[in-house]
Amino acid sequence: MKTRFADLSIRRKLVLITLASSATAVVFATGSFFAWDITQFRGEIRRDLAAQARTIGENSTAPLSFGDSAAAGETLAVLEIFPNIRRGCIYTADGQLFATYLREATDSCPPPPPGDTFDVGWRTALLVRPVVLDGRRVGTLFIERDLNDVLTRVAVGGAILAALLVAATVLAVVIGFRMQRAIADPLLRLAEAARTVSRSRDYSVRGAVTSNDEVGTVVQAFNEMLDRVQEQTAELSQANRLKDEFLATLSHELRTPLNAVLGWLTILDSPNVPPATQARALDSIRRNARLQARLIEDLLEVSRIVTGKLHLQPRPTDLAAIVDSAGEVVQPAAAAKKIRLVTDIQHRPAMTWGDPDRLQQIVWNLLSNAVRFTPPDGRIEVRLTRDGGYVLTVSDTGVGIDPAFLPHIFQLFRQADASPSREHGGLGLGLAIVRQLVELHGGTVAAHSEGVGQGATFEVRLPSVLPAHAERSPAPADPAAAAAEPPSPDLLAGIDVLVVEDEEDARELVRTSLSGYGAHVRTAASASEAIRALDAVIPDMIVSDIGMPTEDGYALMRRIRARPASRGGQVPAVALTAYASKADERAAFAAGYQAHVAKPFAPSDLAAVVRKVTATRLHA
Amino acid sequence: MTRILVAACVCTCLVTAAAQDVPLEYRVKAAYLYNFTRFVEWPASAFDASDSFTICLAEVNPFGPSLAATLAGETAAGRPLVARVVDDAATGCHVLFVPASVSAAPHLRRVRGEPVLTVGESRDFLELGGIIRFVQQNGKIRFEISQDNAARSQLTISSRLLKLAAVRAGAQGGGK
Repeated sequence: MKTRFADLSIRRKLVLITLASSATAVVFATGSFFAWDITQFRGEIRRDLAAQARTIGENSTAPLSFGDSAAAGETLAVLEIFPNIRRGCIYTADGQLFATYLREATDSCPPPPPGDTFDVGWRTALLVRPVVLDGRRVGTLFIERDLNDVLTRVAVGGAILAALLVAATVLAVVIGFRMQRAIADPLLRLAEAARTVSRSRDYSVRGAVTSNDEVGTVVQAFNEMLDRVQEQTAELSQANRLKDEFLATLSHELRTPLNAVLGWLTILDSPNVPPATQARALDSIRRNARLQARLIEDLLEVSRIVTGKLHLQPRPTDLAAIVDSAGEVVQPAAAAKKIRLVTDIQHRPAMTWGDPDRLQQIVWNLLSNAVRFTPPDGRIEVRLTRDGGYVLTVSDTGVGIDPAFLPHIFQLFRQADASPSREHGGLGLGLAIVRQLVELHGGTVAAHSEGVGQGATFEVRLPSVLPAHAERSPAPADPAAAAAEPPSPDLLAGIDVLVVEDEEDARELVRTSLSGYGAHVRTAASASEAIRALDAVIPDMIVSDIGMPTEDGYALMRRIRARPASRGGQVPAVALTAYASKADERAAFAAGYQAHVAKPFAPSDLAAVVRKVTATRLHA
Repeated sequence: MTRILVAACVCTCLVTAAAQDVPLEYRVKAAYLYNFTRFVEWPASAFDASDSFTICLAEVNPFGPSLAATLAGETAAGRPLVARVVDDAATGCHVLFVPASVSAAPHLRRVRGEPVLTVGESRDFLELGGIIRFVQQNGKIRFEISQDNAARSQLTISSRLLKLAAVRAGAQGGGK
């Protein structure tokens, strides 16, 4: 079983790293030094031996020439002073042993070796040199030197190397322990902190930064991560709380008008209801139903805002007129609470580039908010001035805003008082919608208040200013604008319409709506029924639902458009769909519809669109 | 032990030499004569009048053919070595060998001051002005050298040769 390096503890790793590097250094430095030293030493030995051989050779020419082996022996005797020379032998030219030097008496000279060789091995160095006189070989010199001193040197070097390695190992262990403490301890402390956090979920725990190195960076990153986690946890619980509050508020707000409706319906259901009570009941039911419709409208608006599907349809618009009409709308409610509504419009007309419906929504939301939060006998002032762009201020003498809540006043679902016992109704959506709409117009909205009970001022700034003579653009080609004029009851007189809708109630609603404007209506409950109806008689117009089982409205229209004109392929068509996104609209146009009406629809809107599409075809 | 063997061999050889045409003694001396030329330096003027290096034998040749055989094909100072017997070693000799049977004095007188290496065998050879004298020691042939006589003859004797000389004679007729 081999242990992977990565699995070792940091201390072991450090010891190994230190050991590896120091051992490598020791082996390389010492090893190369000894290698160099031994090489040098051997070279020295070689040179020395060669020099000795030369001297002895020269000094033995005369003894060899004159057969004086005693003199040759004296020449060889100088070798005595070199303790490593083991044997020295001189031979005559014809191979007779002539003179010898033997360190050990028991040794003897070898038979005369031939040639001229010099072998430096590891245990002995053997030298054979001819003795030459005037170019004539007069004899042979043989010298053997042991290399015990070299071996000793190698052994000493090895011992020193081993000692250094041992010292390096000990040092590496010591250093490893020391360094381990510097690296591992903060890491262990960090791990402990992390464990504490995950065990106790206490995100306020922090690791201690003890060094400025990578470990310190890790600890710092860990702490920063905890900061983020802490923030996010706080945000998350805040958001959760807001959602809970919102849901509670929503159910309360939805239930309140519903309760009224149900209550009055129960009363109406009972026998012998006096006419006055009946009238009151119907009035109350109508008001509460409207209130609920308004709430749902707001919710849808918020949903559009959240999903980014809110689109403006801007055109030159007179802000002054919008403020006027919004004032008129809230006037009855203000009057009911005996609130004085003062309007101060300094520019008339106040032309701006904007979506009139959305601008109206802004002003209406601010005004109804003011009415809601202003106690009876209070005063609301609406002022439209110019300061670069337009500045719309709505101030009241109402309950005011707690400074602590002021920064959150435009956030979704935020309400100053979210308790079930709160005095003021509403979903807390109005101001969030206001801010979103103002920002879509490139403007800003701000709230000011001196505090609770001191009233509040809202200030909307819209940057776009158009010259006073800017013409309102021709009515846009959308259903809402078309519906602006009340259509005449015979708008669709003589027009043959085929209605395709799988759901019976909806089908009857469409039939009733269009018949009411004089159209001749045939119905089909499915795509295949529609095709059969088309085969029978070609209508002037088709109005089709999109979401149908088996075959949807897109597929139906593609089939119709594939037919020749003589068989109804060119009949104009209007798509009816519960989903009103731009993508749905594009899909409808792509399938071959000429117009697109979102459900639920107002009968007049549908009639107007049908009329318009028919007219388009007539012109075409 | 080896040394004793060598000595024994030489002794035996000397004993048996009498039975041969040329005694071993003279064969060894012929080689020595040749070897002397290796360890002695002659002045350049010694070779002005000759193309060869000549070993002169005074009056008789005790070497038989052994000297000629030793010298065959050899050179000294870049010249072929030749040997010849002379009665009067006036000129053309570089080495003059005076055998024991010949009176040395007249020969030595004739070459006095000349660059001629004189080699002899008579007991008073060095006293008479000779340079090298063969002697017998323990049955071995050795030689004595007079460095002064060599200097007088403008010859330089190698220290290596001097080291081998049995007796290093001093000045001419040095009291020995």
